[in-house]
Order: sequence, then C-alpha cells, then structure tokens
Amino acid sequence: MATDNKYDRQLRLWGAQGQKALSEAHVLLLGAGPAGTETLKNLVLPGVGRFTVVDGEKVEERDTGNNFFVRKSDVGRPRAAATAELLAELNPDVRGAHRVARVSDLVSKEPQFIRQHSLVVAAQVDPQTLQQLGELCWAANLPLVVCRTYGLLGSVRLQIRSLDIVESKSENKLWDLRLREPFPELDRMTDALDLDSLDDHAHAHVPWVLLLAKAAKNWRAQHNGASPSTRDEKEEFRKLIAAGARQLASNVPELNFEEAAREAHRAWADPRELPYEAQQAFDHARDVAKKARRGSDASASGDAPPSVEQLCLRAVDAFRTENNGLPPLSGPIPDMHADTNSFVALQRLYRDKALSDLTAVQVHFSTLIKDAFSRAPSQEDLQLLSLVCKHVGDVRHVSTKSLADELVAPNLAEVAFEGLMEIDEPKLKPQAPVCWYAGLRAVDRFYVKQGRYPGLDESSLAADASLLADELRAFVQEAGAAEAMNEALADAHAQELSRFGAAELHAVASVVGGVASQEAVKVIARQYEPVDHTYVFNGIAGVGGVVAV
Amino acid sequence: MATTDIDKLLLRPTPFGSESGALAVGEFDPGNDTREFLTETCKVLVVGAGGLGCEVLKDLALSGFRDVEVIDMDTIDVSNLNRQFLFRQKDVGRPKAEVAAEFIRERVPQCNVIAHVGKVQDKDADFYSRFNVVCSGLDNVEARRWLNAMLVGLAEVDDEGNVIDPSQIIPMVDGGTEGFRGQARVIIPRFTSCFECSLDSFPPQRTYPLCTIAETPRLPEHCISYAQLVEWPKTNQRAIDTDSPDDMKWLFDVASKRASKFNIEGVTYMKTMGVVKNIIPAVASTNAVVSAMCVNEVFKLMSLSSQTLNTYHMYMGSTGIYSHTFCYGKKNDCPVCSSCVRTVTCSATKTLGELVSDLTEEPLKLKAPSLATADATLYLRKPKSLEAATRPNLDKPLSALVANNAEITVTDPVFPGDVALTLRVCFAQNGAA
Ligand SMILES: [Zn+2]
Repeated sequence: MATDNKYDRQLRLWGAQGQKALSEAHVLLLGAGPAGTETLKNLVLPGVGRFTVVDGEKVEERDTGNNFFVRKSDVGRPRAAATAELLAELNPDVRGAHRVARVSDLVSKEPQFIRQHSLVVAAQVDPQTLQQLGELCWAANLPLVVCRTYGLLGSVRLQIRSLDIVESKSENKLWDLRLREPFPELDRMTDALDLDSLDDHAHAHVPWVLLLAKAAKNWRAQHNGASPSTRDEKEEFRKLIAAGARQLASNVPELNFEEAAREAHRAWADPRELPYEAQQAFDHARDVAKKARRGSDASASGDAPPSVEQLCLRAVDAFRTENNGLPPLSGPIPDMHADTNSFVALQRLYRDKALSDLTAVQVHFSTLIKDAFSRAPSQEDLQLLSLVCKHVGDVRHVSTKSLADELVAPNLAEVAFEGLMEIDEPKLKPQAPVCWYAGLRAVDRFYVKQGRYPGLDESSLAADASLLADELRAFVQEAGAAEAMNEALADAHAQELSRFGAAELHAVASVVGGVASQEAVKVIARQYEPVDHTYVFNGIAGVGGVVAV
Repeated sequence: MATTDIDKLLLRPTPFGSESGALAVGEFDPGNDTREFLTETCKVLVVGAGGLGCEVLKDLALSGFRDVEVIDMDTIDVSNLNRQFLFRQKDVGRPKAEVAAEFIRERVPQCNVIAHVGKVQDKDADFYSRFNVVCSGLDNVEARRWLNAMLVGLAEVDDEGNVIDPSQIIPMVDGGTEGFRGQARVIIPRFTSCFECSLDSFPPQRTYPLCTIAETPRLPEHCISYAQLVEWPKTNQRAIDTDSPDDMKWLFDVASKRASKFNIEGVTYMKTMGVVKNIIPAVASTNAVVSAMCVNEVFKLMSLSSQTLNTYHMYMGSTGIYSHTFCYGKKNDCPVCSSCVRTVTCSATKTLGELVSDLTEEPLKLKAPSLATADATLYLRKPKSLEAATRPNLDKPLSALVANNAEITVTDPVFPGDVALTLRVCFAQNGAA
C-alpha cells in the first residue's frame, strides 16, 4: 500500500476543499427503504460528517429481500435503528443517528428539526407529504433530493432554491490569456522578444502564447488597434503565424508555430466576455444585493444574510467595474511546446499578475464581509475568494423549479425526448424517459385518489391499469404534452405500471441511490453542476434522461 | 401470488417482455418456472471484486440469484475503502474475492457465493461454460479482451455462421467507470458487437514524449516521469514496486529535486502516485449506478421479464447528468467475433519480424503473437526450445517462408489458446510497403 488515505481516489475529483465540505455536512434521510439506504451508503463511504435516519416502519421479511442494510435478525425492530446501525458501521469517521417517527408526522409537526440539517434526502415519500416537505425546504433554502423507485423505473429530483457553485469544472477548459488586451508585464515580455535574433533551437521553443501575443500586437498596430474580426481577417492572421515558422535544416516542422496557428483564436478572445452561465451567477449575486439594500431601506427585511460565495462574486464584480469590465486574471496557463526557462518565466508572469489582481479583489471583499458580518475575512473566506478568482468563468448559480410549481403547473409542451439516440426506432419511442415520468405522475394521481398504489393485488391488476390509463391521459392533457409524446403513450404504459405494483427492486434502488448521492455530493461540495430538475431511469430498456417539467 | 418485490416482475404478464424489445432474446413466460430458474438453476459469474464487483455481488444477492461465483486476483488496499463497501480496515491485505464472498453470505444467507482467487486467464473453457451469464467489472482492458474472446469462442459457429450449441451463448454484461462517468453494456456472443469490436474506444494510457521529459520539462508530471523512466533504472536493478511506500517516496524525492532544479512547482506525493500508477479517480456513486444497471440487465436477460439494453449505455454525471443509449455496431473484421480472414498486403522482402511487430500495433494491438501456417511453424513463443528454434525466421523475408496468398494462423496471449485469427499474406507487385 502506497497511501494510507482511504479517500485518495475521490480526492482526485473534489480535492481537500470538497472533502472538508463533505465532512462538515449533516444529511437527513427520510425513509429507510432500499433507495434511501443506498443513497446514504454512497455518502457514508466517502466520509459525510453526520447522518440521521428517520423512518416509522418495523423491519419486515420483505425488507431482507431488497435492502442490504437490514439482517434477518432485525425483523421486528424499528427500520430506522437497524439501518442506521449498519450504515454507520461502513465508516468509523461518520457519526450516525436515527429517529423512529413517521415521515409524514415529522414533516407536518417538526419543521424545525428538519431545518437543522444541511441536506435532505426523501426516499419513497408519499405525494402529499412530499409537497409539504418541498415547501418547507424551499422556504428554508435547504437542498432536497427526492428519490423514487417504482418497479423498473427510478427517478431523482433535485430541488434547490439558490446555490452558488464555485468550481463547475466544465469540461472545456477556459484559459484566460489576455492576448487581446495584454497587461503591461505581458506586453513588456512580448516587446523583449526578438524572434530574428534567436538561434534555431530557441526559435523552435518560444511558447506559442508569446508568438500569438507578438503577432496580435503587430496586427493591431497595422489595423488601428483592432483585432482580427472578420472570417477573412482571422484566416489571414492564422496564415501570418504559420508563415513565421523557419525551415529548419533538420526538416522538422516547428511545433510551437503549429500550436500557435491552432490556438490563433485566443488572440482575439474577449476577456470581458464570460460564459453565459457564469455571467448569470454574477448577475444573480448583484440582484440579491440590490434587493437586500431595498429591503433594509424599508427596514426589517426577514431575508437571510448573504452567503460568502455571493460576497466573493460581488467583490469580483466591484473589481470589474473598477477595471473597465475586466475580471481578475485567472493565472494558470496550458502546457505548450517550449523550453523549461521560457515556460516557467511565462507561468510566473501570469501567476504574479493573478496574485496582484487577487489582492485588489480582497480589498473589496474585506469591505463586503465587514458590512455583512462585522468581522474580518477568515482564512477560509480568503481561500474561497482565491478559488473564485481562479475560476471566474466556472462559477454557476443553481436554481431549479420548485416542487410546488412542478405539481401545480407541469409543462410538457417543451420537453424533448431525451436519452435516446435512435428515437426514430419505433420500439424505443414508448421507452423515452419523459413517457415514464408521465407514468409516475399518473401513479401519484391514482394514489391521492385511492389512498393506495395500483396493482398491489393480483385481483385488481386489470381494473387498476384501466384507472391508471385514465389518469395518464388526464395528466398529459393538462401538462400540454407534445404530439409525439401523445402518440408514444399507450395503455401498455398503464398496464406495466399496474404490474409493477409499487415493487421496490434493489437494482433500480441502487441506480437511484447512486445518482442521488452523486447529486448530494455536488451540492455539498459546491462543485460540478447539479442536475437541473429530474433524472429518470427507465430500467425496461436501459435508458436514462433528464426531464424538466 | 406475488409476495416479494421481484415476484411482481417474475410472475405477472407484461406488454414489455424481452420479445418486445429492440434486442429480443426470448419470450417471457411469467410464472413459477421462471422464478425457479432464476433462484435455483441460474449460475452467475462475477468477474472482479473491486469497486464494481462489490456492488454487483450485493445487487445480484438482492435480485433473487442464489448461485454466484466471483473471481479476482487482488488483495485489499486502504485506498479501496472509500467505495468497496464489503471490506473493512481489518481486511486490508486479504484477497478481495474471499472477503467479498464471506460478507455476502453473512448478510444475505440465502445467496451462496463461491470465491476464486486468481487471474481470469487461469481458468479454462470448462470453467466458463458452466455459467448462464457473466457480469464483469474489471479495471483493465487486457482481462476484458481475454474474457470476451473466451465467451465468444464458447459460442462455436458452423460454416454458415450459426451457433452450434445455443446453450453455449453466454451473455456478458460489462461495466466500467472513471470518476463521474461510466458505461454498462450487453454483449451476446455472435449476436451483438463484442468487446473487441469497440477496442478503438479505449484510449491508450497517457504518456509524455521522452524528449520533453529529458530536455524541456515544464510540468510536475514531466519530472515525475523522468524519475520513473530515467532515474529509477539507472540506480536500481529491480522494477518499481508501485505498492511500496519506500519506492514511491524515492520517486517523489528524485522528482522533487529535478523540479526544483528547473523551478517547476507542484510535485506532490499524491501527484507522484497518480502519474506512476496511472491512478483513475473513483467514487462510490458512479460504481453504484453502473453496477446496478449491469445487474438489472442480468436479471432481465435471465428472466426475460423485460427488454434488454441494446446494447450500450453511457453515463456522465459531472455536468448535470447526461446519458445516452445506443446500439454499438459489430465490426466487420473483428478478429474475435467475425470469422473473416484479414488480408495483409506487403512487400515480399518484408521480414517476419516486421510483420510480428505490425501486429502489436493498431488496429490489432496484440501482445506477443505466435504465427504458423497449416504445414509449418513460423514463430512460436513457447516452449523455450521452439522459440529458440524459430527465432532465426524473424530476420528472413516473408517470401522465403510462405507462398504468395498463404494463410497464416496467429495466436496471442490476449486471447485464450484456441482463439486464433487468420491472415492472408499478399505480396505487392513492386515495392509497396
Ligand atoms: Zn467483435
């Protein structure tokens, strides 16, 4: 064994920062069936700080057939106690607790208990209780993950009113190089570079960033300060770069010039322009600040204090206002063909500039923290700020539709068939996740009217299927489903839902538990991008997709 | 009467049985026979008892399967504990297959799990042909290639390409993960694409050009690779033991020194391990998703109670959730599942050694090929005496060894012994490569 850190493999994803957030979280699980315990298992293993299981059932024979966290010997014991015990045993770093109570009672009678936690997982909670819980969590801005398994179908719904993500870790890496508007130090380094005076070896090892900086500066000098903008100009610029390469005696092409031609678009990238989603996060933070100011004018606004994340965004915003719209420089540069010394020098140049920008942002930040909390920024606050400045294009503001809106005003008109490439294949159309989303909503309507789930008994299979078919038709009509979906939905869906008879299959619960825990980790760590709304797993055809209704 | 949760699937009729799907494998017959087959008769082999294997075993045990065997060669490491939930700190150092089987038997007593400690390649065709289905969760491509070739080989075909003994069509459900992404797929030998058909989709391990490492290092990774590839062999007679803290510390120190000489920042112990061991990030959640999708397919394939995934499900969980199901096409000239003869056109002066080295590269990526014609051995790796006897052939031109258009049979340790591919060698008229 070469490491004694059992979290090594996950630290490579979310780092010490994410791990710390996870270890400080207290997750509440409502409902200790298989979907709930599987979700919690995947949070206990990576080291969530604390968990509490709430469940009002006693362990039955049935549980031993689909729940890994009960034993035969537990039959008759409270399910909350049995599962909490076996879950806690997975990881000595985690503190586990349980409460024997009916989830519906807890939700209606003890909202203050629920609000003590940092995230709520609701598994197999009935539609009415879920509605109440959704409202409670929405009001408290408490992240809620709703898990559901129904026969071969599973779903995970995330409800978040407002959450700022610092590192969305989007796959396409944005490099902030400032070639269009070089900062003075970069400009000086560019000026000092005299390509003609270099010997062949040095010439072939000038970092492409400097090649582009030089070419871009020359271009601007000849074009009244403008960067290449039309297609033709961009093509011309690219050719100019490539033409700068030397024909070496070795006949080996100069890799750095090839790279420069490939990366030419960075010469005219506008550093003021952030990705749409990132800009939205900044706009949101500004709006919140505005509202809070108005609120305090009107005195006694009941709003919560701003989050440190929001203050980070506002500090960056203030920096941008002061710097003609430019964000603080990010710092890191990509690897490129170059000799060690010129690469390291260039790396330092960008890092030093990033540090001086960060210092300027800190001044705004200190003021904002002082105004909000009457104290100086802590070490942790400053760490967060430096992350934000390093990943300005990577910040996100997450806000899903509320459960209440989804229940009251579902809208299927815009929902596409997702998760299927060969959706034209007639056999797959009825299997689109959105069709089964509608099916699950029909099951809920049935439950609210009948006080039970369909297909529990052999004798009522056919009658329940027919009632379900009515509910399904009514639901898609109310939700304004697109024509394609109306065509795909058939009585077969209702028959299948009736056949499932509220069965909780372990494998489906385990898919749901995997997805739900993944989303919980993203929310707790404030990294990556949480799912917007509902993920539906269709275990009939092995298809999954996100449905935002 | 459906009393348990899975009974509802096994005993009740459905409009969406196996026969209704895009990849139909049989007709669903709801009732006690189906249930009895699943619980009493069906034998499942789980390959790998790591991140995926632990999940797969749990999911099978709670899906009604009672006759399960598991094979894995590894022992338990501390860094497994964040996701391989059948293991505890006290089990570190013990064989994974054994501990996993014990845990499942203890928690789900009706499920009997038998452990095999060893490599996939240690078992023969008789061993694999006893199972009804194989579920694999392996972290390396080589073992999956071998297993796939074994299972495809079991489904022998006649001259018309029809499988001779349908009971020897053993489906393989394969899962893989990396960080927040993963995939689950169904392979039905001779009917769907096989693992080898998709070999191109596995990128080679990330490496850095040797000249960069030696002459113009810029990243901490370059310094670490230098310590591993250049400094280690200079100072040490033996190979690096990547599980030894002493060896890793040595590499870390050497890499750190080199980094400080070049003013490169960021060499850490964690990064050193990541580069040297080619560590792939892994989390409990993705393993849970992919394994459960695999077991769900196993359950449906064995009971016919629902449709079968056709054939590949890709899952990506870092930016929202993106998933994609598609039919992975068969490769017409797949060396494993097609019976096609590959034609190699080359100059008559090309040596046998050059041909052998071509075979180890794209697209075939063989490891140590042995070659023979119907009436002569050209080059054999084993036994040692034959290797020595045939080695001189490597330097001979092909024209001195075989006639134009001759068929050469190639075997290789990436495939089981009786899986061979056939090459037809055509000599180009004048001097083509
Ligand atoms: Zn194939």
